[in-house]
Amino acid sequence: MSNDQLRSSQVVTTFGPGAMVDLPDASVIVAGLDHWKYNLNQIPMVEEPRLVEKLRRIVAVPTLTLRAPPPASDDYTSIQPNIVGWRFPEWFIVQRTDTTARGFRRRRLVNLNSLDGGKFRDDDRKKYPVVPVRFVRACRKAHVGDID
Amino acid sequence: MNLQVHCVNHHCDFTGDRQLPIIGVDEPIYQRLPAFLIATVDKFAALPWTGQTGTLFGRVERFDKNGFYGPCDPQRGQALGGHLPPPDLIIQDELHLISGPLGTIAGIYETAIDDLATRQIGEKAVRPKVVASTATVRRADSQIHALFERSQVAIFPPPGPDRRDSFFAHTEPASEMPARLYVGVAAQGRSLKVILLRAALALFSGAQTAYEREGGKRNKQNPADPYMTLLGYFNSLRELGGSRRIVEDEVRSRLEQYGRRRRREPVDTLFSNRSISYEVLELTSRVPTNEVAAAKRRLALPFCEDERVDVALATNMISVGLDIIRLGLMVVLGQPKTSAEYIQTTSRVGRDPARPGLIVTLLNVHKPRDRSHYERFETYHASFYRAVEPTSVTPFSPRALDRALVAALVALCRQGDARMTPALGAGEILSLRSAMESFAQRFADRAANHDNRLSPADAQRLRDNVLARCRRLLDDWQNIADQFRQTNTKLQYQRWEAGGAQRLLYDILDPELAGLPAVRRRFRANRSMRDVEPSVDLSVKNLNDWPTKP
Repeated sequence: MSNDQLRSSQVVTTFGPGAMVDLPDASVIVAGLDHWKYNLNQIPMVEEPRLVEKLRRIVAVPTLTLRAPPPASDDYTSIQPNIVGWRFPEWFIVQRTDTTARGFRRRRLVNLNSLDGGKFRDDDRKKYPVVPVRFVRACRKAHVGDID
Repeated sequence: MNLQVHCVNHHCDFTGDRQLPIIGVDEPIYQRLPAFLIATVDKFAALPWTGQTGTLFGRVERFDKNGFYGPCDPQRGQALGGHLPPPDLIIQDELHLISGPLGTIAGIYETAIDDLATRQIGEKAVRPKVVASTATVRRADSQIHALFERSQVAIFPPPGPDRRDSFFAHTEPASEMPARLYVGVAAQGRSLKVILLRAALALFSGAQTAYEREGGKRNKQNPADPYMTLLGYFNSLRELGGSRRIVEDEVRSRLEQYGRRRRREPVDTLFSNRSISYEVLELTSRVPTNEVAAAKRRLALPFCEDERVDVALATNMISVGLDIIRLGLMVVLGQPKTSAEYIQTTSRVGRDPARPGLIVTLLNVHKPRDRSHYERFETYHASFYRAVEPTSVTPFSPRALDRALVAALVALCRQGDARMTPALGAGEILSLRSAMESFAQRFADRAANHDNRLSPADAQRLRDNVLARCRRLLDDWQNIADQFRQTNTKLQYQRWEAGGAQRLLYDILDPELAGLPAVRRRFRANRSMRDVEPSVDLSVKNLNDWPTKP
């Protein structure tokens, strides 16, 4: 779908699940592991015996293992492992400024649904680029959402 | 496969079927052996993988009118009766870049290269001369010692009695020929993003005023031209990503009315409205190389052209190798981690003596490090070459050996002995194991000598350690070959080099490695000097596609 890439260690630290990532052409929030596509046998194991032991004790899962994020594969015959980023925020500002009669400037706020190939087709049928809105809402329990 | 370069000018000597004497493809290079060869250190990685690379060190046996042939092409050409001499002059440009992780890995390969390029004249082993050019380094002698194992370093031009005039180079005082002006901006209680926004607005808008005053587009030699393109420098992709959204959205929309900001008394006209392009150029690792090349071409265009650039955002990708004369304005977001990096990066602007550069460094006073730089801004900038960090090259540290010793050892064994060079020569280890001992010894000696600050006891310990590692690797290699021999399977260096054989070497990130026995898993080699970790593909989806949207 897209050829965006992240470094393996970035996915563990800065851009793990739930983090917002500014990609060159999109702003996304990294999805949880249940949405990732991978073959468990092909994922490299991380050998950190002491950390594994401690984690096993804390979460009480005796079979716990540590795995690296699924590395990209050049082999087009097997599945292409990838992680998922949900496009977020879903509201965008159209990069076209109108000036009203009273001198106010305004730009349209559009939803993801009204985009056409990543751009917004305005009433004059021309395509205009969009940028994600600058604000999202968040609560004390660290949930994040669009300002609908 | 070959690449021929011809001149399109009919009066040129190199037109028609007479090509320019330039070779650009690997295979013809190994055959023609040009007298002058330009390469990057990444090509060192080809030494264990490709048998023909040894011809560059004069390891050829036969020749014909098309060039020379080494042990990899046994049928071709007539006997030469000996070898060609190895290269005797190595020019290392930008030595300061061969430091840190890159220099450490390159240093291990240098052991093999140095040995291959050494010629025996009578009793004496003569090593190639190394000439290196460098910028912003400190303690270059220990770097050179670790990298090339040369204890004598002669500096050119030699420092004279006056540091401003060494006869070869002459420093113009800043009062006569200004190069760059540094401005530090910090604000209490404001986030760095806000400071970036305000600074960018003032710079864009102020440049526009100056540009219009000097005749705008019609004046092709507009003196304000260098300041119309803003080059943003960021310490991390995360900061760059966030700032890109600010520039695309807020800076752009505010700039269109920014000319309204003016003082009433006395009246001034510092700012003008400006409409910048929607598109923001990015010079980072996350955009494809061809787009980076296109971006560099566009940056060089004067502002009166249609394809002009208003703003380009970059990471430390630009701190070396970006040489665009016209750029004059840079915004640095946050003090870079090292002073060498800061000097290198900010030297990208103001390269034209007639058009000095302006660098605005935005500092976050709430970070102790940035605050310290802000408080001593003047003193620091007056003498920041003093603050350049010494480079570190540690080719024989345990983790570096883990990563690159196999490749370098295999490279030396393969290229150092003609019987090992062909693809199936990997199996010859069975009969030549004892001959390889001298190569193991070579690495051990180098390890002991690479740092003259080591105590004799430490040096001896390192020598023993490296020797033991090399011997173990050679033994493992022999065992692998022996196991395959029992099933009548041949051993080659890399896959598909010769048909019907198992391979010795695997790429560092090869997924098949996980399924191999531990002894074979050791034989993994880089294809370049900087494959460090795998990337992860990120697929962008819309939340609407989530089957059970909350």
